[in-house]
Amino acid sequence: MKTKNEEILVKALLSELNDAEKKELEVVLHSDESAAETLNDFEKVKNNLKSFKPDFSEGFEQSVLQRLAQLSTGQTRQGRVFRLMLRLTMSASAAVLLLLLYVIWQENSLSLDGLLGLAGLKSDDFTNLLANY
Amino acid sequence: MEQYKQADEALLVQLVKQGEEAALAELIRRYRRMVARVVIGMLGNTPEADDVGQETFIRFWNSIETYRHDAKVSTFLTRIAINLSINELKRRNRRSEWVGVLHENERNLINNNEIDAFEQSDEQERITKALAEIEPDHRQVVILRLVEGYSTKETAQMLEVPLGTVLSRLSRALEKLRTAMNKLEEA
Repeated sequence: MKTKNEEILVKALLSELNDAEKKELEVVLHSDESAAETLNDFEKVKNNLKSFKPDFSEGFEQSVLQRLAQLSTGQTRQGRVFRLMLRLTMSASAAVLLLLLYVIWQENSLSLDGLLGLAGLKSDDFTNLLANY
Repeated sequence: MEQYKQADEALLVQLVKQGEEAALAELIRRYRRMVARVVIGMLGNTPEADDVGQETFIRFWNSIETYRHDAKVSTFLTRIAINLSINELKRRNRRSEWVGVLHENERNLINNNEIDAFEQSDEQERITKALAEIEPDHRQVVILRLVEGYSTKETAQMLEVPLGTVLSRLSRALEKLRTAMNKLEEA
Protein backbone atom coordinates (compact mmCIF):
# COMPACT_ATOMS: atom_id res chain seq x y z
CA MET A 1 0.00 0.00 0.00
CA LYS A 2 1.28 3.46 -0.84
CA THR A 3 2.61 5.59 1.99
CA LYS A 4 0.12 8.36 1.33
CA ASN A 5 -2.76 5.87 1.51
CA GLU A 6 -1.38 4.41 4.72
CA GLU A 7 -1.26 7.85 6.26
CA ILE A 8 -4.85 8.53 5.24
CA LEU A 9 -5.99 5.22 6.75
CA VAL A 10 -4.14 5.89 10.00
CA LYS A 11 -5.61 9.38 10.19
CA ALA A 12 -9.06 7.92 9.55
CA LEU A 13 -8.50 5.46 12.37
CA LEU A 14 -7.55 8.33 14.66
CA SER A 15 -10.46 10.50 13.45
CA GLU A 16 -8.01 13.19 12.42
CA LEU A 17 -9.06 13.69 8.81
CA ASN A 18 -9.83 17.17 7.50
CA ASP A 19 -12.46 17.67 4.77
CA ALA A 20 -10.01 17.27 1.90
CA GLU A 21 -8.58 14.13 3.45
CA LYS A 22 -12.06 12.69 3.98
CA LYS A 23 -12.64 12.97 0.23
CA GLU A 24 -9.24 11.41 -0.34
CA LEU A 25 -10.22 8.51 1.92
CA GLU A 26 -13.31 7.88 -0.15
CA VAL A 27 -11.18 7.73 -3.29
CA VAL A 28 -8.72 5.37 -1.61
CA LEU A 29 -11.49 3.07 -0.39
CA HIS A 30 -13.02 2.95 -3.87
CA SER A 31 -9.78 2.46 -5.75
CA ASP A 32 -8.11 -0.04 -3.42
CA GLU A 33 -10.15 -3.06 -2.34
CA SER A 34 -7.76 -4.03 0.41
CA ALA A 35 -7.90 -0.54 1.97
CA ALA A 36 -11.31 -1.08 3.61
CA GLU A 37 -10.18 -4.42 4.97
CA THR A 38 -6.98 -2.84 6.31
CA LEU A 39 -8.93 -0.05 7.98
CA ASN A 40 -11.25 -2.61 9.52
CA ASP A 41 -8.31 -4.62 10.83
CA PHE A 42 -6.69 -1.49 12.22
CA GLU A 43 -9.94 -0.76 14.08
CA LYS A 44 -9.85 -4.26 15.55
CA VAL A 45 -6.26 -3.76 16.71
CA LYS A 46 -7.18 -0.41 18.22
CA ASN A 47 -10.10 -1.97 20.09
CA ASN A 48 -7.94 -4.85 21.28
CA LEU A 49 -5.43 -2.38 22.64
CA LYS A 50 -8.18 -0.66 24.61
CA SER A 51 -8.55 -3.82 26.65
CA PHE A 52 -4.86 -3.76 27.58
CA LYS A 53 -5.05 -3.26 31.35
CA PRO A 54 -1.96 -4.71 32.98
CA ASP A 55 -0.98 -3.92 36.55
CA PHE A 56 2.06 -4.18 38.76
CA SER A 57 2.39 -6.86 41.41
CA GLU A 58 0.70 -6.68 44.81
CA GLY A 59 2.21 -4.26 47.30
CA PHE A 60 3.56 -1.98 44.60
CA GLU A 61 2.88 1.23 46.57
CA GLN A 62 4.56 -0.17 49.66
CA SER A 63 7.62 -1.18 47.64
CA VAL A 64 7.99 2.37 46.27
CA LEU A 65 7.65 3.92 49.73
CA GLN A 66 10.10 1.39 51.18
CA ARG A 67 12.64 2.19 48.49
CA LEU A 68 12.20 5.89 49.18
CA ALA A 69 12.77 5.32 52.89
CA GLN A 70 15.90 3.29 52.14
CA LEU A 71 17.13 6.03 49.83
CA SER A 72 16.64 8.75 52.40
CA THR A 73 18.34 6.63 55.10
CA GLY A 74 21.23 6.03 52.71
CA GLN A 75 21.43 9.73 51.93
CA THR A 76 21.43 10.59 55.65
CA ARG A 77 24.24 8.11 56.27
CA GLN A 78 26.17 9.46 53.29
CA GLY A 79 25.63 13.00 54.54
CA ARG A 80 26.92 12.06 57.99
CA VAL A 81 30.06 10.43 56.52
CA PHE A 82 30.58 13.46 54.26
CA ARG A 83 30.31 15.91 57.17
CA LEU A 84 32.76 13.84 59.24
CA MET A 85 35.24 13.69 56.36
CA LEU A 86 34.89 17.43 55.82
CA ARG A 87 35.56 18.14 59.51
CA LEU A 88 38.62 15.87 59.50
CA THR A 89 39.97 17.42 56.30
CA MET A 90 39.51 20.94 57.65
CA SER A 91 41.24 20.08 60.93
CA ALA A 92 44.15 18.45 59.10
CA SER A 93 44.46 21.44 56.75
CA ALA A 94 44.47 23.84 59.69
CA ALA A 95 47.18 21.78 61.43
CA VAL A 96 49.36 21.76 58.29
CA LEU A 97 48.88 25.50 57.86
CA LEU A 98 49.89 26.18 61.48
CA LEU A 99 52.95 23.96 61.07
CA LEU A 100 54.00 25.83 57.93
CA LEU A 101 53.56 29.20 59.65
CA TYR A 102 55.64 27.96 62.58
CA VAL A 103 58.40 26.78 60.20
CA ILE A 104 58.42 30.13 58.40
CA TRP A 105 58.55 31.96 61.72
CA GLN A 106 61.39 29.81 63.06
CA GLU A 107 63.46 29.33 59.92
CA ASN A 108 62.50 32.30 57.74
CA SER A 109 62.20 29.81 54.90
CA LEU A 110 59.98 27.19 53.43
CA SER A 111 62.84 25.21 51.89
CA LEU A 112 63.05 21.46 52.43
CA ASP A 113 65.83 21.97 54.97
CA GLY A 114 63.69 24.49 56.77
CA LEU A 115 60.76 22.10 56.85
CA LEU A 116 63.02 19.32 58.19
CA GLY A 117 64.62 21.62 60.78
CA LEU A 118 68.06 21.34 59.12
CA ALA A 119 68.36 24.91 57.86
CA GLY A 120 71.11 25.96 60.36
CA LEU A 121 73.15 22.76 60.18
CA LYS A 122 76.66 22.74 58.81
CA SER A 123 78.50 19.69 57.58
CA ASP A 124 80.70 17.88 60.04
CA ASP A 125 83.92 18.20 58.00
CA PHE A 126 87.41 19.33 59.06
CA THR A 127 87.09 23.00 57.95
CA ASN A 128 83.93 23.56 59.94
CA LEU A 129 85.38 21.88 63.03
CA LEU A 130 88.46 24.14 62.86
CA ALA A 131 86.27 27.20 62.40
CA ASN A 132 84.44 26.37 65.62
CA TYR A 133 87.64 26.39 67.61
CA MET B 1 -3.30 7.70 52.74
CA GLU B 2 -7.08 7.82 53.19
CA GLN B 3 -6.89 11.49 54.13
CA TYR B 4 -5.85 12.48 50.59
CA LYS B 5 -8.32 10.33 48.68
CA GLN B 6 -10.46 13.33 47.76
CA ALA B 7 -7.58 15.81 47.42
CA ASP B 8 -7.08 17.48 44.08
CA GLU B 9 -3.93 16.91 42.07
CA ALA B 10 -2.41 20.38 42.57
CA LEU B 11 -2.65 20.00 46.34
CA LEU B 12 -1.10 16.54 46.20
CA VAL B 13 1.81 17.84 44.12
CA GLN B 14 2.28 20.70 46.58
CA LEU B 15 2.36 18.23 49.46
CA VAL B 16 4.80 15.96 47.62
CA LYS B 17 7.05 19.02 47.15
CA GLN B 18 6.96 19.46 50.91
CA GLY B 19 8.07 15.85 51.33
CA GLU B 20 4.68 14.39 52.32
CA GLU B 21 4.94 10.68 51.55
CA ALA B 22 1.24 10.03 52.08
CA ALA B 23 0.49 12.42 49.20
CA LEU B 24 2.90 10.48 47.01
CA ALA B 25 1.19 7.25 48.04
CA GLU B 26 -2.13 8.70 46.86
CA LEU B 27 -0.59 9.73 43.52
CA ILE B 28 0.83 6.23 43.13
CA ARG B 29 -2.61 4.79 43.81
CA ARG B 30 -4.12 7.04 41.13
CA TYR B 31 -1.46 6.54 38.45
CA ARG B 32 -0.02 3.07 38.99
CA ARG B 33 -2.23 1.50 36.32
CA MET B 34 -1.35 4.17 33.81
CA VAL B 35 2.35 3.72 34.49
CA ALA B 36 1.84 -0.06 34.31
CA ARG B 37 0.31 0.23 30.84
CA VAL B 38 3.28 2.23 29.61
CA VAL B 39 6.01 0.17 31.28
CA ILE B 40 4.51 -3.29 30.77
CA GLY B 41 3.56 -2.31 27.23
CA MET B 42 7.17 -1.41 26.57
CA LEU B 43 8.93 -4.18 28.52
CA GLY B 44 6.41 -6.98 28.76
CA ASN B 45 5.15 -8.38 32.06
CA THR B 46 8.63 -9.07 33.38
CA PRO B 47 10.15 -8.58 36.85
CA GLU B 48 12.07 -5.56 35.50
CA ALA B 49 8.78 -3.89 34.62
CA ASP B 50 7.92 -3.72 38.33
CA ASP B 51 11.32 -2.22 39.10
CA VAL B 52 10.99 0.35 36.33
CA GLY B 53 7.50 1.21 37.57
CA GLN B 54 8.84 1.79 41.07
CA GLU B 55 11.75 3.78 39.70
CA THR B 56 9.30 5.98 37.77
CA PHE B 57 7.65 7.15 40.99
CA ILE B 58 11.00 7.54 42.75
CA ARG B 59 12.24 9.75 39.90
CA PHE B 60 8.99 11.67 40.12
CA TRP B 61 9.59 12.23 43.85
CA ASN B 62 13.21 13.27 43.27
CA SER B 63 12.45 15.59 40.37
CA ILE B 64 9.24 17.10 41.68
CA GLU B 65 10.97 20.50 42.00
CA THR B 66 11.35 20.61 38.21
CA TYR B 67 7.66 19.79 37.67
CA ARG B 68 5.78 22.63 36.01
CA HIS B 69 2.11 23.01 36.75
CA ASP B 70 1.20 23.57 33.10
CA ALA B 71 1.92 19.87 32.47
CA LYS B 72 -0.34 17.18 33.88
CA VAL B 73 1.07 14.75 36.43
CA SER B 74 0.08 11.94 34.08
CA THR B 75 2.14 13.46 31.24
CA PHE B 76 5.11 14.02 33.55
CA LEU B 77 4.93 10.41 34.77
CA THR B 78 4.46 9.05 31.24
CA ARG B 79 7.60 10.85 30.06
CA ILE B 80 9.61 9.39 32.94
CA ALA B 81 8.15 5.91 32.39
CA ILE B 82 8.88 5.95 28.65
CA ASN B 83 12.47 7.15 29.16
CA LEU B 84 13.17 4.59 31.86
CA SER B 85 11.64 1.81 29.76
CA ILE B 86 13.84 2.72 26.80
CA ASN B 87 16.89 2.73 29.08
CA GLU B 88 15.87 -0.70 30.36
CA LEU B 89 15.51 -2.02 26.81
CA LYS B 90 19.00 -0.74 25.97
CA ARG B 91 20.36 -2.36 29.12
CA ARG B 92 18.56 -5.58 28.21
CA ASN B 93 20.14 -5.59 24.76
CA ARG B 94 23.59 -4.93 26.20
CA ARG B 95 23.06 -7.71 28.73
CA SER B 96 21.97 -10.22 26.11
CA GLU B 97 25.06 -9.32 24.04
CA TRP B 98 27.21 -9.71 27.13
CA VAL B 99 25.98 -13.20 27.89
CA GLY B 100 26.53 -14.16 24.29
CA VAL B 101 22.94 -14.38 23.19
CA LEU B 102 23.84 -12.31 20.17
CA HIS B 103 21.19 -11.30 17.65
CA GLU B 104 18.48 -12.25 20.11
CA ASN B 105 16.34 -9.20 20.56
CA GLU B 106 14.19 -8.34 23.53
CA ARG B 107 11.17 -9.90 21.87
CA ASN B 108 12.53 -13.32 22.75
CA LEU B 109 13.06 -12.26 26.33
CA ILE B 110 9.49 -11.13 26.60
CA ASN B 111 8.17 -14.22 24.90
CA ASN B 112 9.98 -16.62 27.17
CA ASN B 113 8.89 -18.02 30.50
CA GLU B 114 9.24 -14.71 32.31
CA ILE B 115 5.72 -13.89 31.28
CA ASP B 116 4.45 -17.02 32.95
CA ALA B 117 5.94 -15.83 36.21
CA PHE B 118 3.25 -13.18 36.30
CA GLU B 119 -0.33 -14.23 36.08
CA GLN B 120 -2.19 -12.45 33.37
CA SER B 121 -5.22 -13.24 31.31
CA ASP B 122 -4.94 -14.74 27.85
CA GLU B 123 -6.09 -11.47 26.32
CA GLN B 124 -3.48 -9.45 28.22
CA GLU B 125 -0.81 -11.97 27.31
CA ARG B 126 -1.80 -11.89 23.66
CA ILE B 127 -1.54 -8.09 23.56
CA THR B 128 1.77 -8.10 25.43
CA LYS B 129 3.19 -10.63 23.00
CA ALA B 130 1.88 -8.75 19.99
CA LEU B 131 3.41 -5.50 21.29
CA ALA B 132 6.72 -7.30 21.72
CA GLU B 133 6.66 -8.07 18.00
CA ILE B 134 7.12 -4.44 17.04
CA GLU B 135 10.18 -2.21 17.23
CA PRO B 136 10.54 -0.23 20.49
CA ASP B 137 10.35 3.05 18.54
CA HIS B 138 7.03 1.97 17.08
CA ARG B 139 5.85 0.44 20.34
CA GLN B 140 6.16 3.69 22.23
CA VAL B 141 4.03 5.46 19.61
CA VAL B 142 1.34 2.77 19.89
CA ILE B 143 1.32 2.98 23.67
CA LEU B 144 1.13 6.75 23.83
CA ARG B 145 -1.30 7.25 20.97
CA LEU B 146 -3.56 4.19 21.07
CA VAL B 147 -3.28 2.86 24.61
CA GLU B 148 -2.90 6.09 26.58
CA GLY B 149 -4.93 8.18 24.17
CA TYR B 150 -2.59 11.15 23.81
CA SER B 151 -3.23 13.16 20.64
CA THR B 152 -0.85 12.75 17.72
CA LYS B 153 0.57 16.20 18.47
CA GLU B 154 1.14 15.40 22.15
CA THR B 155 2.75 12.08 21.20
CA ALA B 156 5.07 13.86 18.78
CA GLN B 157 6.00 16.43 21.42
CA MET B 158 6.60 13.81 24.05
CA LEU B 159 8.84 11.73 21.81
CA GLU B 160 10.38 14.81 20.17
CA VAL B 161 9.67 13.57 16.63
CA PRO B 162 7.71 15.19 13.76
CA LEU B 163 3.98 14.52 13.39
CA GLY B 164 4.58 12.63 10.15
CA THR B 165 6.96 10.28 11.93
CA VAL B 166 4.29 9.45 14.50
CA LEU B 167 1.82 8.61 11.73
CA SER B 168 4.26 6.53 9.71
CA ARG B 169 5.44 4.62 12.79
CA LEU B 170 1.85 4.03 13.75
CA SER B 171 1.08 2.72 10.30
CA ARG B 172 4.01 0.26 10.37
CA ALA B 173 3.16 -0.76 13.92
CA LEU B 174 -0.51 -1.39 13.10
CA GLU B 175 0.49 -3.61 10.17
CA LYS B 176 2.73 -5.69 12.40
CA LEU B 177 0.23 -5.80 15.24
CA ARG B 178 -2.47 -6.95 12.86
CA THR B 179 -0.30 -9.83 11.66
CA ALA B 180 0.89 -10.70 15.17
CA MET B 181 -2.59 -10.66 16.68
CA ASN B 182 -3.99 -12.81 13.89
CA LYS B 183 -1.15 -15.28 14.33
CA LEU B 184 -1.64 -15.43 18.08
CA GLU B 185 -5.38 -15.81 17.68
CA GLU B 186 -4.90 -18.78 15.35
CA ALA B 187 -2.42 -20.33 17.75
